[in-house]
Amino acid sequence: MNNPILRVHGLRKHFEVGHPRKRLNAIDDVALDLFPGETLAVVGESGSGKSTLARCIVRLIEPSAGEIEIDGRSITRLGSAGLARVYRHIQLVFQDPNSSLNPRMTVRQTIEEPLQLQLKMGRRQRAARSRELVAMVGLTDEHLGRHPHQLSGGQRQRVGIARALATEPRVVILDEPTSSLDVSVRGQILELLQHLQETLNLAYLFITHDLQVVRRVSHRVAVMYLGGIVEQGRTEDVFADPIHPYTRALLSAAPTAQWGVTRQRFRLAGEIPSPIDLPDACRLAGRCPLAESPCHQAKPTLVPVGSHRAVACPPALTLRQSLVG
Amino acid sequence: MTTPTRSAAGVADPSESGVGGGTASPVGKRRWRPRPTGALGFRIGVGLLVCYLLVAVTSYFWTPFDPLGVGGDVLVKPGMPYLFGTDRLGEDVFSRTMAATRYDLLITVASVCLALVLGTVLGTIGGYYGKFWDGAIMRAIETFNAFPTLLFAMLIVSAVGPGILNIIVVLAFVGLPSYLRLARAEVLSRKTWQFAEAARMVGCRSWRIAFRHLLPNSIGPLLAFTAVNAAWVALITASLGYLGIGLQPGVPEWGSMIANGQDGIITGQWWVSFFPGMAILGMTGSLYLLGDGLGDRFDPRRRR
Amino acid sequence: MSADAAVTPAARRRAPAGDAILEIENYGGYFSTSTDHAPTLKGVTYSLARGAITAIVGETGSGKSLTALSVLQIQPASFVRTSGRILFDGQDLTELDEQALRGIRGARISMVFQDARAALNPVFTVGRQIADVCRLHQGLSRKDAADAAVAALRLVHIPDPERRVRQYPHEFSGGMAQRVMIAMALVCQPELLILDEPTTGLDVTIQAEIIALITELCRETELTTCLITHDLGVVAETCDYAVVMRRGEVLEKGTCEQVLTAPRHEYTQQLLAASRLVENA
Repeated sequence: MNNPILRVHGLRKHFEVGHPRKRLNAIDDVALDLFPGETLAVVGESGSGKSTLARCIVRLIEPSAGEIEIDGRSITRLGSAGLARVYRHIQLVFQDPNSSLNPRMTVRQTIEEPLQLQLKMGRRQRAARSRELVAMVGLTDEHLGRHPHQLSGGQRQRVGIARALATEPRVVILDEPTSSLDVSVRGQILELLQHLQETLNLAYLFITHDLQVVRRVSHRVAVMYLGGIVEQGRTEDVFADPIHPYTRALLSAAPTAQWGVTRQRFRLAGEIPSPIDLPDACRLAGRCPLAESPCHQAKPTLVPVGSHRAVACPPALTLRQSLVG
Repeated sequence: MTTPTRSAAGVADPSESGVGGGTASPVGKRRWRPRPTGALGFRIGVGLLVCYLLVAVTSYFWTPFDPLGVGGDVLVKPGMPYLFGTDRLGEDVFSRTMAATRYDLLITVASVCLALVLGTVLGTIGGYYGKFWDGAIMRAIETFNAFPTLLFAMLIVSAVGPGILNIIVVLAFVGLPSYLRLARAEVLSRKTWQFAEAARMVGCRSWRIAFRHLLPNSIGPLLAFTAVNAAWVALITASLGYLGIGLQPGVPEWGSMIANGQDGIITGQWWVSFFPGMAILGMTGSLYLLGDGLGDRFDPRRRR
Repeated sequence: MSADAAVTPAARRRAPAGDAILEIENYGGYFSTSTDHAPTLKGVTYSLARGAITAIVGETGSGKSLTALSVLQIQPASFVRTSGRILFDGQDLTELDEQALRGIRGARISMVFQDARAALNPVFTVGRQIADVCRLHQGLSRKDAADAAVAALRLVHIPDPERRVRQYPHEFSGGMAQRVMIAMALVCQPELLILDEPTTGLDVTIQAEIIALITELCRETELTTCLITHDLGVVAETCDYAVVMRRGEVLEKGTCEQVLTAPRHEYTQQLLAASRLVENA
């Protein structure tokens, strides 16, 4: 098995908020491995910390603790010059096509900036490479001269992808790249991303809240709730047989566009609590139908289950064993 | 069913005019809508300012009479040859008004530019880098702001003495805080926009993000503010002149001209104060119109 | 062990066959602020059957929200109507004056918007806002209106309504605030409820709860409901009829079953394909 191209362990991030100061644990002891050529989806709802996770991995937000390694080399303590060099190999595609492009720069300028700053290419080389990049994402040379407001949402997102690919990174983190797009455009962008992954052997860390997208594009999935990973494994396994109660609730809540079908809802009580000042217990304990007293006393850790699977819920695992065993 | 194509060229242009025939006429109740005046005002403002500029430049080469020349007929009513009349010292009001344009225009423009550049740079630094720099800059500005503006200007000019350069620098410093705060607010609000994060991901260092990405997007509101602020500076300049502070006595300046002629208003020699006063009115008004027009143009709510 | 997402075929839902309570006939217009005055709505025609849940489906720019706002005559002032009319129970809403319209809004036709926390007034308690609606339309006394507000919160399953009725909008989460909006819309027992993208922006699990709530409330009271959405999953879950719009035109309409299983228009087929990304994998 190859070595992971991106490895994160012990990652934590907390913020101090409010008066009087309280602690908000945005990310609480997260570990993940991403292998070359695969897509790992990170899925969660609001407060799960998934966007913070994306930014902490590239240190746009400084993590409070933890280690990040890219291709075996730690980037956790690099200075800003070193980081700028690292960004050649790991890039980010942002969620909102409206605010992720500088409104005053043309497409050409946006795409050529990394070529100039990070690859130090000369003018002719840049022009050639930018033409190559726009063709790769399905746009034409004509689009190079346009400003973002002259492009549609889908086109802007393609520019964002082209910008991310400019320096030939090996890892691309995509922060909800299709959430702000119309339904009919999403499929096109996902298809483009998959095609690019195959051609360029990219590893994707795909952050999203949309389960259908997860099912379509990812090989493995990690489910996050209030800053921690509660379940991870191969996508087909997790979707066919979700173990953690939160995963079950999430999967059963997603509506399908099929007539005449009712789903069995696995419901959690109440709503997602505020992430501020959480007690030292399982984050789901207050809402979970399987909660027992140990759940309220200590945070459960991820326990490996079978091959390539891990779940952080002792009651669910015991239940499963008693049914299977 | 068509399969979705890779090319984005098939994405629809929202403004398609596929409906045949002309525009249908509205039916139903009419609702009154105010007419937009921005464009016209803008043009008037620009036009007037250009006139002022021409007058200022011309005054270097030609005025009907020597603006500093003394000894002509005293307190003559406006007419020929003294278009605006003469003042108590026999100087032609028209020529003096023309000449004064140089100074008032120069002081206004120069101090505004200086305040704009300095304020924007400092505001951007404070807004982007935050924490220490922001704290230091803001504390300094708050000290400036503790004084009422005109009083502050008066104090400093009295201390450093008269002279054009002194006035320009003083007015620039007095006007600086507003630009600084505006630039800072604009940068702060855009700092969290995703293109600022994206700029960091493509290798931009902090200064480049602040100045090359964030600042150019804030220019609109800054320019609009500048024009209106310039109007205010023009008034302050005239006020200082009126109070007798700043330029050497005798140098033509609208404010001081008004002061010289103010007694005359009661006794019937209205023209000595009137024409310089109108000049100030014109310049201030045109700057306001310019600022208004610029503000409309850069209003983010206006659809392009 | 089968997953909880396992499905059971639903009993065929009988689409209530009522007469139409709302009829939009050939409604068209443009925005006066656009440079070419191109029509934004073109001949929009559909009707809402009494007692049924109708979905208006479309993407951005389809005109679905604009049409809904026009029903209550709260569309943007720059929108100019060029044709058509909107009949509510036989009355043409486009011809009514402001006073008559005020009597209808909230009392006979209610609307729920997308961002609940933005639609609620931040300086008044939730209870006060709901009570105000009651007092305005039903002339209740202060005490009766306050009781009605508590009852309304209970109707939408907000726990501990007596306490929550005294809280301010910012103290509610997104999902809870949406429930409050629904409560406010239903407190005067309107005949028609319009919901404009009520679940967009909410978390997946909360979306499911809100949809279940809406379905439950509407079925219990046989309230005519118009649900505007771009999510075909929501349509499949809840609606009896569906109207598909694109760029200001109605492309297709019919019973939900018809539109989802046998769509006639190519665009509807594309939308279905796009929302069923799973099948395409």
